[in-house]
Amino acid sequence: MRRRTRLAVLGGVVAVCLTSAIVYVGMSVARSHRTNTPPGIHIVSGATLGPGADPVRTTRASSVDTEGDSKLLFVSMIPDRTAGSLAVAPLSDPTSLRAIAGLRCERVYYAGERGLCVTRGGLLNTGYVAKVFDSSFHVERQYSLPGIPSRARVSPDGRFGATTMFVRGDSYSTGNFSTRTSIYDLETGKEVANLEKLPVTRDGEPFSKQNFNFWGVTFAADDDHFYASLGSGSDTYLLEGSMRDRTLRVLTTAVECPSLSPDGKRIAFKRLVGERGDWRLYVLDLATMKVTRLAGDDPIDDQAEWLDDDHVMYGNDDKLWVVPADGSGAPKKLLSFAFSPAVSRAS
Amino acid sequence: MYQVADSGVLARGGRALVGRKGRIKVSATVVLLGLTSLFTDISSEMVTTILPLYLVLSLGLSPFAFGVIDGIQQGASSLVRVVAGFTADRFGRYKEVAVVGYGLSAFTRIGFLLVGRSVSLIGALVFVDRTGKGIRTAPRDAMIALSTPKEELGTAFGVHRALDTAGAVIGPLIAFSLLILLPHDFDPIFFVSFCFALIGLAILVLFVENRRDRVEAEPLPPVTMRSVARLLAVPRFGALLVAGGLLALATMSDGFVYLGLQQNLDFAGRNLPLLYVATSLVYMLLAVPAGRLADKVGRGKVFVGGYLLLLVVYAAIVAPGVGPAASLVVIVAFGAYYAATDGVLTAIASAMLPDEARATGLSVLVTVTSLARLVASIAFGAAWVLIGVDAAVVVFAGGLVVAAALAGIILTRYAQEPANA
Repeated sequence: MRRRTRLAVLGGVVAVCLTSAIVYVGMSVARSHRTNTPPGIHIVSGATLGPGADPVRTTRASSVDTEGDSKLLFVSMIPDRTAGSLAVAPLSDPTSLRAIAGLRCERVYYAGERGLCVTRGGLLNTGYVAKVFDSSFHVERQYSLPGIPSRARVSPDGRFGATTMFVRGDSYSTGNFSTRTSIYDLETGKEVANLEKLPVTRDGEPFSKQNFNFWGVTFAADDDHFYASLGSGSDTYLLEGSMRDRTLRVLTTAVECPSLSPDGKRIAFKRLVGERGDWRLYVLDLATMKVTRLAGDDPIDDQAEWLDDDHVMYGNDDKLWVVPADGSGAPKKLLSFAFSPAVSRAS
Repeated sequence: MYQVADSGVLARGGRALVGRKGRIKVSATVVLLGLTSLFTDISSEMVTTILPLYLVLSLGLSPFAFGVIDGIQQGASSLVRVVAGFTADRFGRYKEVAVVGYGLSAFTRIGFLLVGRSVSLIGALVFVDRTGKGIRTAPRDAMIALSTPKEELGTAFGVHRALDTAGAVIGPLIAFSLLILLPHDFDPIFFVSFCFALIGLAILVLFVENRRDRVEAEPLPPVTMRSVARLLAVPRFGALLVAGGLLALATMSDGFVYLGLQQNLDFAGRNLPLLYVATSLVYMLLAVPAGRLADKVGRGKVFVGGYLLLLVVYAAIVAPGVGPAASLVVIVAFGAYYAATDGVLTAIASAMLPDEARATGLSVLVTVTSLARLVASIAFGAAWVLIGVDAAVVVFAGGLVVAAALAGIILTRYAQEPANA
């Protein structure tokens, strides 16, 4: 071949390669922007889910309809194009059908007809944002978040939301992390409180130590009180806070990621039982301050969610589990390919 | 010299690459092979970066299983490597053998799109990809050596490695950008990777040619198994194998270095890819200066000196009170270590080896050093578990000092090469 021919051939190869690469990526992007799941019911089989997995029935989600039946919201982890999407299933039988919404979330929570979805966003998707959505998954507003999201919570009436972000480190188990936890008014999108800025007291005295970290907020039903965990070095504390008084009070020690029961009487939480990362779930009775360890031998790193006043639910290994809240029984698998559970109770 | 179809354009490109004064001269073949490597590396690093993620996160393979598969395949590709080097030498068909290697790797990218979620088929594709890499390395380096005067070998390999590493910087950036744009969708990454591999292959096929006198020489210089054995018996080359092998035995693998640095320098895990890219950038920038320095002051000195820089990196992993600010020094030292050792070792070997057995010799060298590194990697992993990371690094640092001293003696006494020959 002559020089010119060779150059022309190379030019052709480069042009064809680059064009097809751009077209392919463009088509993939376009496809990912379309509603991920077409209407109708689909069966995701073992070919996608992996050997031994039961087929999953999916459909497109249009709203969180809680008339008649409570709903379970979670992040669906079916390993296909829908992975990471917000999904809804009937709480009474979550495996029967999962409706997949067009929102992708790293962590989700939903209460009082309002949800909080923390997800990638910002310039070139390099940061994280919190999306506030309504019962038909319409995003009402969003605000940017510093760091990597780890926890999200909404108050029972949907008025307030809280997020915990890692600003340094990226998991609780490294033992070397720094978190930022804030409470937002979801109606205005304004920050109501940054927990780091509130004074902490213990037994009525000001309490301060080095490297305070706050994480895992859970709200009471009164639109004022909330609970959260505080860490300093290897010590952790349960805090009770008041948005109105702007105070934080130490209730007890060795509590992480509290979760208040629907009746407001007990708190499910995780506690370190061994090395870093080796947590188990416990329930604290707020009236007696009695602590009960829940059944189960696996390490759990999640902020638990109450299925009802007698059962606690949590995510582990991309599965949701349920365990009795009184320490009896054993964890039972509720749903596969799912994490970050939230219950939307029947109205 | 090699025939280059488009000598005008490429020579201009070459001059632009090496600077205005034209003091660094490399043949067009070196630049062309560098460009082939650049595009191929964009392609392969795109896949390499996301493959653990794909296998472990998307397909649910355990990280341990991945490590085992990876190790076995590295070992298996060694044999293919020597056979390919031998074939290239025997028939003088360096380009053809290299094309087979580059081509095999390129077409595995399409394979990833087609095989779906079968872990065994993906394993087979990774194996073919590694085999392709094993096949192409030695003939390619032999072509670089055959097109370069002996006294400029360090520079030539420096230019090639700089281009090659540029690909290793760009590839992960493209892969992660695509992953951010399309989370959980790996197909576009494989497709784009295939496109870059094709461009690299096209440059090689269209513009690089075997040196005519080697192809047309009749009868072919006999490269037999016996002559390969004789090659190894050449004291200078044998000494180089021992020196390179010893140093490789005391080298922690990249993964462990980054993990260790992360623990001591307090990086967030998500910044690890950044550390990797920054190190590659330094390597890319210093590859040519290091090669030139090696040509001037002696390649052995620069090579052993590079391993002393690795000691700085080891120190940063164990030294208490090393703040994140020191990470800059570490990144420069780690990148400079690569620049001073990788291409320079190939240059040392190329200068020693006779033309007719160069690809074979180079493939033997790569096999020895990569097997030594594999052993080192397994040993380090075991030591980490048994005696802790700090103690393991101290042991390796001690080993590195001893190996560097021995290598210094071996290279100056037994494998001496004239500084300016």
